[in-house]
Amino acid sequence: MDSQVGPYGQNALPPVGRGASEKQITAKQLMEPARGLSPFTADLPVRDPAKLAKLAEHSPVLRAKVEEVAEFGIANSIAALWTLTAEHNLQLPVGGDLVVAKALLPQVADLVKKQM
Amino acid sequence: MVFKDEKEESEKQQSADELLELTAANLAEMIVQDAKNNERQLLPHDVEKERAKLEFIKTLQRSKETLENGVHELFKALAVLSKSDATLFSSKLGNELAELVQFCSSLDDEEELEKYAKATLEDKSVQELCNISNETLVHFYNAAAYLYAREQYEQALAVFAVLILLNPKHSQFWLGSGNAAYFLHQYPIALQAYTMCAITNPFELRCHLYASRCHEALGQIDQAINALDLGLITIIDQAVEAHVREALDKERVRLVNKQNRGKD
Repeated sequence: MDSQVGPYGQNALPPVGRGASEKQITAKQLMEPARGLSPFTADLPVRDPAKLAKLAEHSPVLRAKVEEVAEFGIANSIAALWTLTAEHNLQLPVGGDLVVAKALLPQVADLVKKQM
Repeated sequence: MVFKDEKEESEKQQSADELLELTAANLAEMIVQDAKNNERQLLPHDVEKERAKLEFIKTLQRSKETLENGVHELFKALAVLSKSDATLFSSKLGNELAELVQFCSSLDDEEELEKYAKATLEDKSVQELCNISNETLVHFYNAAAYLYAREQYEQALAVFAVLILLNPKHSQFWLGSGNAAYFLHQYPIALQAYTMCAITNPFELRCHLYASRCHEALGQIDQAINALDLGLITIIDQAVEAHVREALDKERVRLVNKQNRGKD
């Protein structure tokens, strides 16, 4: 186990500006994002597939996402976040052409299958 | 000016339409050709992979405005931060900001888009492709954290979206993004971000706690309890102080009671 892992997560320090010691943190404070963010270190988090698998066992949503990332990399997740952010920030009518792309999929699958 | 905007909008639409002209037949051809070029056997999930790439390209293309907005907010925050740190704007930071601007411009170019999408699917980051150093990434994060601390959540979310695109393997970017969305009451965005935070760092506790709050706000009490359970699993083999576990247990009891009251 990484020695830096603390109650707030790996490499994370108590949130900046909270002005209270950890002992004084109430359940409400613990459960809500702090108004300040932990300092950032450019070291990537430690990968632990076993730990992740253990978590995914208990959550179908997380399991599905883990499988998606394992198969297609992280691109879909970035795309999902960007699409939602764009919808929120700019009220852009996103999604229409993605629907078209998905609708094409069965046809594409058939055509590829014929050539396999 | 209005005329220029309309022209830009029309060009953007034309470009989107051109992408849509990609028919099933030539998409299939592309997949088959790619397998041949790389002398590998064609696999059924090649279709899915191609779809993922296509969707990613389209998202990038559609999100150009979001990216530009994020970069704009990043510049503004860096400018403010440089007032208290005269050494911030080094030539290195300047050059790497220029790389980022160049990347934004390249989103009009389909070949460039294809290159970025392919690299991302191969687990390479835009940070690597644009030669942006970790040192600069820290400055970018500080800019996002500055906006967040000033409760400018819209702007912070936009900058975090840029950071995630640059390097999605950093769980802190997903967490920051989730938190900004949380305070904007954009819970579906926050939940997406918290899920990715857990995947990129399975030792991170906070994403589960805040996801629980999001689910509760959406009236999904079952899932709020499930998120807390994930939090408890996260810390099961970690040395955390007793009050953290106690707080989690208490919170779980509160949610179970709330769920039971709902069933009555």
